[in-house]
Amino acid sequence: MTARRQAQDAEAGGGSGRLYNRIAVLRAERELSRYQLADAVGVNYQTIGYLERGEYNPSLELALRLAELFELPIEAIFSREPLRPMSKELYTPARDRALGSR
Amino acid sequence: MVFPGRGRILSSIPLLALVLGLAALALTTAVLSGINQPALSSGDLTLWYFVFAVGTVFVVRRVSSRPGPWLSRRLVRRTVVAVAGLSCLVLLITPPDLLGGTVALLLIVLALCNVLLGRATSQITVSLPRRLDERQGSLRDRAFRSAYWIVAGSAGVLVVVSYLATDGSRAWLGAAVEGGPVVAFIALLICLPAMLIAWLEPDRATPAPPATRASLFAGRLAMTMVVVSLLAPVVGAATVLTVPSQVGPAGQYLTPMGSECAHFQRVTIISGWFGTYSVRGANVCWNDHHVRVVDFQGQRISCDTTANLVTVSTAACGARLDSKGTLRVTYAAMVRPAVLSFLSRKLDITFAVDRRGRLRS
Repeated sequence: MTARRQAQDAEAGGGSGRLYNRIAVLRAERELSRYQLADAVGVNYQTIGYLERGEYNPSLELALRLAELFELPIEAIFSREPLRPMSKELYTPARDRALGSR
Repeated sequence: MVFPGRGRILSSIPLLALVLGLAALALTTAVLSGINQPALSSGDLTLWYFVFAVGTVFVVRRVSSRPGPWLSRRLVRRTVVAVAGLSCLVLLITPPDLLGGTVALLLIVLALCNVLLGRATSQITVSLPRRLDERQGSLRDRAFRSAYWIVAGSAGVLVVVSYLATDGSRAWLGAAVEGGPVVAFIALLICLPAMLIAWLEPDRATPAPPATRASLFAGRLAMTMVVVSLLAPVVGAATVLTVPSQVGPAGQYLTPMGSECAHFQRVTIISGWFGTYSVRGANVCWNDHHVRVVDFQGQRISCDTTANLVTVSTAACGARLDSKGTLRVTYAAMVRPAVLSFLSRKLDITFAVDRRGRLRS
């Protein structure tokens, strides 16, 4: 990522770089609409769209509210590195374990 | 009997909005009644209009607006921004004598753009801080910061360069505080933050949630008030061009010029919010053989005009003797409303005086 892109990301989100998140997946998993999630954490419904698309970095307070709502540690939702798909998170270790036991 | 949702509607819509809705009705009635029978004076109507316009701003700011499918598109938003910017540019660079009544039209365009930009940006720039979330708050802060530097920088450069450049530019600077440039400056102060947000924001992928009945009603009320606010001056101006004029009888008035001289005049009235009370007359002397227009205190033919939000200019003004020796005084005036000043209406006023000082039709 170039320095300019990083600066743009920082300007867009108010943070120090782009944050990756799993909000879309977690929201779909819990069958929540964007409006319901927005109501639950007290933001505008468009802000949820911006968060999911990575166009806005939340404040620490909003991140904590989301973590509280999804009942997950904050690092399970947000990361400074691109997040692996949840299916890989779940199944790759199992496969690796199976391969390792042979 | 309780209707579902009724209590919610009545409790969630500000009482102010309902009062102003009734005021809209009163204003429309007043405008329409003023066309044929001026129950209210033009000044009263202008005052009512001002009150209504201020009320409209309050209502629009209280309604939680959503951009809708059209204004969610970046292209549409950028078009609105371009129209607003172009209007400001025209106000800035056009000399005041060329602008004329076009200022009013440009102001209406700017007001409409401001309303559209408000909707396009979900009223971020004018909402109370407690109604914004953290993303909207930071977006608004960035927009105001950028707008401040753009306005302050460009106005500062413009003033310094105009002052230092030439005599012509210094003259422009002197006239700017009273003309279009100051209007453009104020318009930019009001609109620029919303213009920046509307220009920079991406296409919105998130469709708006279904509106409640209360918000639908409030939105429609606000939109109706905006439309009435914008159309009322246009309708008022259009009436000047269409309503029949009332031509009063020609009158004869004694003057200190002698027993065989008098001042003759005829009054023409166009009633309504935008109206005119036009008096055209001439000093005439006669004997049994001749009749002629004479000078009186340097005023050979009177072209007095009183106008409300209209401009009356004399297109032709003259007197001629016909074959019977009767003097026919003719005026042709061009009436232009302040808002639609590119449209005009011709007003003919005539009266005749015979050789014995009698008025003829």
